[in-house]
Amino acid sequence: MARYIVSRLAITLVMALLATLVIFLIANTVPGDPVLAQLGDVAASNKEFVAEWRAKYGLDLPLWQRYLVFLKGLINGDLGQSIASQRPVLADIAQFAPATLELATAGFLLALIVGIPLGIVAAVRRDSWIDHLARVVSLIGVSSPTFWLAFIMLAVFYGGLEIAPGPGRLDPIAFAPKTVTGLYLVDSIIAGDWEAFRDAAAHLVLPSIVLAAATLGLITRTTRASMLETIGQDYVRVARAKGLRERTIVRGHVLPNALIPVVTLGGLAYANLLTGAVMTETIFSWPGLGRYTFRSAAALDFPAIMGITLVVALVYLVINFLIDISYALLDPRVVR
Amino acid sequence: MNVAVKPSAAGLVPPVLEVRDLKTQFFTDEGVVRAVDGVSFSVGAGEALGIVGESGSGKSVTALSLMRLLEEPSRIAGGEIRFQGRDVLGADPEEMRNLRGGRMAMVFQDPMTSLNPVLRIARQLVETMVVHGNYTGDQAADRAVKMLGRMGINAPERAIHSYPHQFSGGMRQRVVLAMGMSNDPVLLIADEPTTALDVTIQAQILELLRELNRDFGTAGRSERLLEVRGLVKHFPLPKSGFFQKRLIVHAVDGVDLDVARGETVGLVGESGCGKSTLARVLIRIHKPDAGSIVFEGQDIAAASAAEIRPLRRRMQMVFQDPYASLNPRMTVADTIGEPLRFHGLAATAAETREQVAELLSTVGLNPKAAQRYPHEFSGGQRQRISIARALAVKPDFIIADEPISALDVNIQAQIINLMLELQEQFGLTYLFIAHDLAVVRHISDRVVVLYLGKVVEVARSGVLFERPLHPYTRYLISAVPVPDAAVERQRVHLQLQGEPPSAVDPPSGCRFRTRCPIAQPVCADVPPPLAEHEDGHFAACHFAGEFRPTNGRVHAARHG
Repeated sequence: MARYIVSRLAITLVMALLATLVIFLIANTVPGDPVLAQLGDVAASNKEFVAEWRAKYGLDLPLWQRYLVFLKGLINGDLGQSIASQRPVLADIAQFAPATLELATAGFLLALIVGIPLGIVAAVRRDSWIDHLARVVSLIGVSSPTFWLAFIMLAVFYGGLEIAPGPGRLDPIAFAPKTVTGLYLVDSIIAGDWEAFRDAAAHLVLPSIVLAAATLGLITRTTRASMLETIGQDYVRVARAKGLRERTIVRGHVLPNALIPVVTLGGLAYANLLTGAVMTETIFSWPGLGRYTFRSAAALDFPAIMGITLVVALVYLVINFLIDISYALLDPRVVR
Repeated sequence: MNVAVKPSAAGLVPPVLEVRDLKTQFFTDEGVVRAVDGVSFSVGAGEALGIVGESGSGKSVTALSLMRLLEEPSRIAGGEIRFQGRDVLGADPEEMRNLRGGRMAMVFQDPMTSLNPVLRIARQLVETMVVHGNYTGDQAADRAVKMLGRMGINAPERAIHSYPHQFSGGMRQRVVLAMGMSNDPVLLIADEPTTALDVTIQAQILELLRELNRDFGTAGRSERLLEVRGLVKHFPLPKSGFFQKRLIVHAVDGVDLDVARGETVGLVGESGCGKSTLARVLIRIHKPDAGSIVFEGQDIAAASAAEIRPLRRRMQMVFQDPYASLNPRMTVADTIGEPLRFHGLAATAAETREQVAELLSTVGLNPKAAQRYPHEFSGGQRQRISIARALAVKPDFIIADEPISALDVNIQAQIINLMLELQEQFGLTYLFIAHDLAVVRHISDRVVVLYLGKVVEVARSGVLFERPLHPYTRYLISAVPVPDAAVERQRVHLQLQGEPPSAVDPPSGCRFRTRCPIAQPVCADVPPPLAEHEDGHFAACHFAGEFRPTNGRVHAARHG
């Protein structure tokens, strides 16, 4: 097991290094000379001046040395400076990431908590009303476009029924809890500010439902299909022939096998939610990474885009690593 | 399938299991399939009852019905099952659950899939003992170790903490048996418990079952490796002219064939009768036009190339011409080593070399010959190389298409003996194709006679040569020379008239009728079915056994 983890870890590190290399090379192939852009026409016509600038920023070094410099910067947490905000990219990301983390986690948990039991019950009681319900829920979840669903949710629950709060993380007049983690739910608990907690939780409801919809559908379908496949396996019939109770069979024999594919799907879905919530965040005025990405892309803010790309790559790598590890824990056949 | 019952103290007790008029039906969209239709039997205490039949005859369904483990769309439609006097069909679900795995246990066919892959053996053994309330967790864990030991598993106290994938098929079946026996059942139902195992392991498991039947009460049966039904292969000929109808060669035209594991089936017939085509269709060099080929329970008739690839390792072919079937530009080591690497049986070059050397000595060749080319060998040696190549991937089933007909007579005997030795050593199953009946008689357990793409007779080898039922078979046998000159002179020699008809336009009705001495008008109209005339002896002839030539002349015994 230890050897397996180490080997997975090594592979993940190599992949991360490759990701930085790709990002670095892309940044270097982008047309446009940063020196010229910085100096302006007059200064740029002075060759000596240009050379001095190039030396100053290390642009006269060969490509591989510049890559090493870039890597060294990364290790020290230097992702460059955002053109739009004139702040370090890392500081920007650190500011926007918690909002996304909170939303994506809420959506992901919602998808898991509803999707997995629904899929299980749908499979165990095949062709019952609950199976049909699961089918409808997952169909709607997978097939409704985010912008449409978000609009409908806001129109019905905020505009019409007025039982849900509007966009944003908090009421416009409320104060955010003292920042510790940047996750409002966690911070408000730490601060003991229950009003802020309730407000933040209420604001999470609609966007997390919208964000979770597609994932919920996928997880329900996959769980159901995987359960049905496992239920048809010989060892489940053997378990029945052993005289085990139906509940023991489902919990002890079917679930541990059926949930293996759900883990892969769930992990990737979480990575997807963490990195791809642009639409939901925009509609719900959610100050998260998705909106930061959108803004940076619109402003051609290259350092920011590179920083985000790197973060996305790392999120996927870490989650893939975690999937591999949980695979080994769930399925003894993975580690020989 | 076997149903075994534990001996009870009193001799005169009512049967443990009584099945009366059991009807189990599959309610499919196409209508009701009567899988089990009015079966009755009873099993007394200590008795072992064998239920035998082809695949699809309802053995497994009967077994599942007894345990009431049927799944939709199959249901018990009628009849009565009494277990220890109790009405099984009327039992409520909780009562039924208590019986299952308790007093009534079942061992399924495939040990590879019978155990849950993600749970340790210990857990799977213990849970059934605990759920029936016979043992506490600790007692059950102790007993599980003892049961594994009793089933012949080494170091059971360590083995019990393994996962199923760490065990071989035979060991897993021992675990499954231990599971079935763990609550001291009164009735053990074993559904083909050895079908999925290697022959040598099969023997061990059967022996174990026999022992258990003595000690507790239990037993097995022989099973099919290959099952062919209604196989058809037609080859369209190129059109000879634009307005001409396309002609079709009916090479294989509705062949049924069964091969049991470890058996040698001889396939005989004249040249052009479809023997080689049949062989090539069986290992799916050709795709059949109709029919099913079930190899180890898997229908491969319509399987894709990718699905067949793993099976290629299990079924191998030895070809007729050892001169043509070896690539002249490849060394012996390359020819034999190629499948080893392709199927991932040898990881490194050194491993491949080692296995090639071992294979060469297995077939009686000097391992040092590995680096030589085919042309440096004699015909017999080349056929040994072909056999080594086929053996390399450790197949279960070898189709030998006239493997000796291109060889000198004295070499033929060596190759035949080698094949017999290898069969014994590796538990191989052979389909042996030949036109030389003397050889077929020597090597085969059963013989299938093919004529113009159809099976005309099947029987155990001895029976076929003793009492052939089909006139064509009688002709074939008559053509076999007998070594004893005196006997040879006295023997009736039958000469078959004419050439076999063309497979492009086979005769109507019975295909042999155009050359048959006892043909009647009915033979032209009605194709004779392949009917069982005595136990395991099938013949497709309207007048089976009626052709009995007495001396040099040919005449029919009686008909009219």
